[in-house]
Amino acid sequence: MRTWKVLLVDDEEEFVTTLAERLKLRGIEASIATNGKAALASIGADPPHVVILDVLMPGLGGLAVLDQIRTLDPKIKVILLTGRGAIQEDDQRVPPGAFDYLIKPVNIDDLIEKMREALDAP
Amino acid sequence: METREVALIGRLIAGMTHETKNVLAIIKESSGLLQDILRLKKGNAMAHTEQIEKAAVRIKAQVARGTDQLAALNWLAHTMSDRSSSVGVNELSSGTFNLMQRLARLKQVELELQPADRDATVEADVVRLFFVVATCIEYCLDRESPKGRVVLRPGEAGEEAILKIVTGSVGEHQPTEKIEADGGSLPPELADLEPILGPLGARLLFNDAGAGTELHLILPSRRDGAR
Repeated sequence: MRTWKVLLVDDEEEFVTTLAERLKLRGIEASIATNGKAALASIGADPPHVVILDVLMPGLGGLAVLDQIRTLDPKIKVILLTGRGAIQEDDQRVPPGAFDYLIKPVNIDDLIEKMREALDAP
Repeated sequence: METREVALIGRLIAGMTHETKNVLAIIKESSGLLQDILRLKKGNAMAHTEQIEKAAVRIKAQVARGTDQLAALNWLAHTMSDRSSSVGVNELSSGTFNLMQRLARLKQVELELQPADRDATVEADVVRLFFVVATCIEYCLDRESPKGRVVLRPGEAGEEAILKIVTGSVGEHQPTEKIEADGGSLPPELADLEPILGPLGARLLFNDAGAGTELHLILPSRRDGAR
């Protein structure tokens, strides 16, 4: 199995740190960023295969970061993390440029399955 | 309350539910990490493995419970902050149902929701609709005996949407037309809803002549697809 490089972006540092640790225990190379600017810098320095991106963050929000990732490297797959209300569930439209979205709190197996789908997608 | 005040309170509650959801997410991931470590250590002697595993499962179950409760509160918060002007009668019923579970439990009454197969969109101020529905449910909860039941049955009535709220002792409910024809006036506890119902384009029918209490809330509707 190829090694996945994942960047977790969320302003809740404890959340991304713990999630990254759990992914690492499963053999996934996970790094973290706690704001939009740091995420873009990290992507520029070492592009990941997948970005898990919180929509609601102070400063540069998730959707603005998503736009910039598209410009930097459109091949990077982006999965959005959102609470109910940020993206209407009954709407079920994925914002342009994102592979998909997951509602917080996520189940780690669902997250890994979604990453697998993203990496298998053309 | 004024629109701006309601919207502000909605935004504040939505912010708090978002923050609390983050707290629950951290607790969930930390408990998951504990379980991951225990599984990795399997075969190695480690004290109290079983108890730690059980505690982690309990934490996850409580996180799931808290998340559901926050989702209910979040629904109301967004309804308030967006000042929504349309809602599915199923969504209105389930949103109010979720928020009133605690009140029902305190009264030892089971609150049951029987959603409609087809949803009908109600075109009216959703915060006010919520207030009306919650008041009607509370009225029925107050009239039901402990270990009894209050049932919410959203549906359609001709061109309109309807929400029937009945106490558990009401088996076969009365036809809406019959209650309307009987023309019973609302009890004092519900009479103050009348000034709100008019501007919403809604009607509230009341019947307690039979085995229990029956309220039919008739709402202005736009037909939508399946639920």
